[in-house]
Amino acid sequence: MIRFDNVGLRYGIGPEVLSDVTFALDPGSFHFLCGPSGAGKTSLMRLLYLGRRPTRGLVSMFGQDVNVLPRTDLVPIRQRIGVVFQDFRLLGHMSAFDNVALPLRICGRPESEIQNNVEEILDWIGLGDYMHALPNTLSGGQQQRIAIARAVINRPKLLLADEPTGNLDDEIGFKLLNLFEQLNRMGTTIVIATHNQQLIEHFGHQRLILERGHLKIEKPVSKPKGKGTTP
Amino acid sequence: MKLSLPNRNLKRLGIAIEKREYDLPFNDDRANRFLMLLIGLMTYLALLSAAGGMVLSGMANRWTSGLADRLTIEVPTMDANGLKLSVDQQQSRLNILEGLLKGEGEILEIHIQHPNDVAKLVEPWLGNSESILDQVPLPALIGVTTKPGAEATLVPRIQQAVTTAVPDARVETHQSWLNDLLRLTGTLSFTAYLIGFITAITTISAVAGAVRARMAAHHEQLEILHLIGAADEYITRQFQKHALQLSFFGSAAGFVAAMLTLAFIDSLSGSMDMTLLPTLVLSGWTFFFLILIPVVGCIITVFTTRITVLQSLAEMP
Repeated sequence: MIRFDNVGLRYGIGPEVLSDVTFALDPGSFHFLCGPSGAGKTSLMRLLYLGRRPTRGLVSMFGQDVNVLPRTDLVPIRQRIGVVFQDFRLLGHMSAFDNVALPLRICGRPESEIQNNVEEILDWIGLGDYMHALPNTLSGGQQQRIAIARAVINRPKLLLADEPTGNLDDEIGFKLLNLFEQLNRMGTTIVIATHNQQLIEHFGHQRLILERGHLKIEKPVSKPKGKGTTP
Repeated sequence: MKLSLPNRNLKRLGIAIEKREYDLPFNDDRANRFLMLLIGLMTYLALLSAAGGMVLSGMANRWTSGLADRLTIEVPTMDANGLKLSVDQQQSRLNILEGLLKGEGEILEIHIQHPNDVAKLVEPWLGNSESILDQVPLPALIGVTTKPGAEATLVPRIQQAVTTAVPDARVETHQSWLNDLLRLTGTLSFTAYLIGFITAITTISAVAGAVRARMAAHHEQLEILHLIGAADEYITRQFQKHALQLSFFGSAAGFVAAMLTLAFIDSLSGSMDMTLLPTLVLSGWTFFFLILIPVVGCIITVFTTRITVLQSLAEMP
């Protein structure tokens, strides 16, 4: 479903932050992306959510070579990807409901469908009573859940989460990972960038380890789930 | 339960306004007022310059059509030695010329104005008509209306016949001073239209700048929309809709202000009794043309916004 071949990325004329990155993600697989700070995790996530194009190498997503696709053709690919940003990136002037509804509105879904789906997902994440609340009045954990709801409302084929547990205590972090596992069981491919070793070891999914821009793939250590990666 | 509080209070309480209009926080933007004011002022200037241009064009047309197919023959009341002719002598010269002109088939109408009539015409400027006649050798005038288009061949013929009959009579076709006036009004009216054009260019530049500034201010939100999968067209439509809203209110205000100003100027010129200067009469077509200006202003604003937003979005991955 996702394939990176000898991908390199540099910003401007600086050094390469990603070098010869090669991996493939199968549909319905679950991966942790880990590595020390500055290793290139966020840059790799950017390439995955099409926030940048690689400097070199081949990136294929859902069977299309994104390097050569015109900008307009990237739009439907982005609509199949859900992203949970580390800093949530909720739109502050919009209610929780409208933030979650945004991907559906962008896809032009009818308002009646949006109403039902958003209310349902807000109830599911336990924020049904906060529909009209502005993000800045919600706690970090609540904002995180809104961001996740926004990422999954459109049933993405690929869910990317950058440090989703960074602002949460361990208990909520584990609950969140369980939520991702549920989504994974429904067929969504999941990539979570995290430093949290405890979580990685507990859930035991395949690890994509970045060190100084180079990627290493480790097989699942325990509780293997999904189909894994093809190095 | 829904709270029935004003939007501002709802926001203070951390409750979103129920109706979501845009995905970007346009309504919180202080730059809105600037853009609306700018569009209002530009519309105001464009309307005044267009109205000025139309009035001057109308005035030139009025002069041209009023003097077309007309000429005036000036018959002096003094002889070549500067001695005043008697009333009989004056009348005899006029009769000769009248007879001569009546013989021309291409002349439709002849109107003779004796020195007494001319004196009455200039009375507002020179004072009592009877005393003027003693002090100023006013000529008699013969107004001639020719058949349309006959001027080119008729004038030289009449000129020759008149000067043969009365050597010191002069045939005036008004062309020399009319040409000067037309050149002047043409220049002024061109300047007025040029101001309108410059106003349009200024509006385009200012709107493009304001849109770019707004995009920079909301870059983070734009990036989120882009990454979530919003197409350029989706984002551009929101900017366009908002630009249309602002330009509509801005140009409506500019239009009302311009109409009030024109009405004020018209009432001032009316009270001054300036017969040579134009009166500002808004005919159906003129008014239609003036209404078009704010509409065109809105279209320019929306189109500029569209181009600017699409250009800026093209820089995103």
